[in-house]
Amino acid sequence: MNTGKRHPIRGFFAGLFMGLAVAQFFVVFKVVALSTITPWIVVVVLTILGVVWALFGPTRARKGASASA
Amino acid sequence: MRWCSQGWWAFLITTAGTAGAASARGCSGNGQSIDEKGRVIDRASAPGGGGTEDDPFTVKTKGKIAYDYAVDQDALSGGKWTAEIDTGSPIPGTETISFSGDIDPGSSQSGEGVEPLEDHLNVGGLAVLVGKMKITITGRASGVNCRVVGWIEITDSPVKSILFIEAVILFLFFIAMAGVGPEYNQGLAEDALDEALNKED
Repeated sequence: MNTGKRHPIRGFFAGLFMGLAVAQFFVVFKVVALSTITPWIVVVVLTILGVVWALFGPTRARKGASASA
Repeated sequence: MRWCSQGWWAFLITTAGTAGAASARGCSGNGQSIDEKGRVIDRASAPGGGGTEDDPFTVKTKGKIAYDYAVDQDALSGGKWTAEIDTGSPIPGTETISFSGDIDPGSSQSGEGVEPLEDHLNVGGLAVLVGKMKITITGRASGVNCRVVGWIEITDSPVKSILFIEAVILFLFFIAMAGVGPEYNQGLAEDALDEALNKED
């Protein structure tokens, strides 16, 4: 059973930052227009993915965890 | 930036007005976009053709706009202008990025000229905005109104834009928050974030 600590708030912000970054890359590289809903959909989707990943994604071993255990 | 110069006001009318013939009300204008080498790269009129979402009026951040304009009723001299860039945001209060200023008291009812864009669209060697966007320009003076809506595309090297730099910084924030940075920094970053964001379980 996976008992790792989950970080949904961190996942939220990670997804939000990633979403904002990707949306802005899309705008400057003319993949999408600024004045459309598309960049905001990217932000929302990646923010949700961040939270979902934080809640249900695989946990990873932290550096030094085994030494202090 | 000469936000309130007659040339800038005319530039706003011609660039935004080009975007939609049907949405130019109270004024009209014609514009030619000229690149750094003096070549005409786009033309538009308001009311008239071009400047739609599918065919935006293209301008270069280091180019120029050759324009002529006319206000239907009277000069807008001494009035106020507002430029609103539609962000597409569904969040109330963030739907537009607005700029406003005074219209030159010496502005006439019609005129023409050439306006360099570098002073308006560049800050510190970086493009203020790059990409395609919808813009609404409104001019108001005692009893005189002018409103134009249209699409423009500001072109420059994407990596020399403020939005690109901002996106890179946000991506670095993402890496920090996601804890996928270099291993030697991982533990410290996680501990600091845990402390700051504690309370989550």
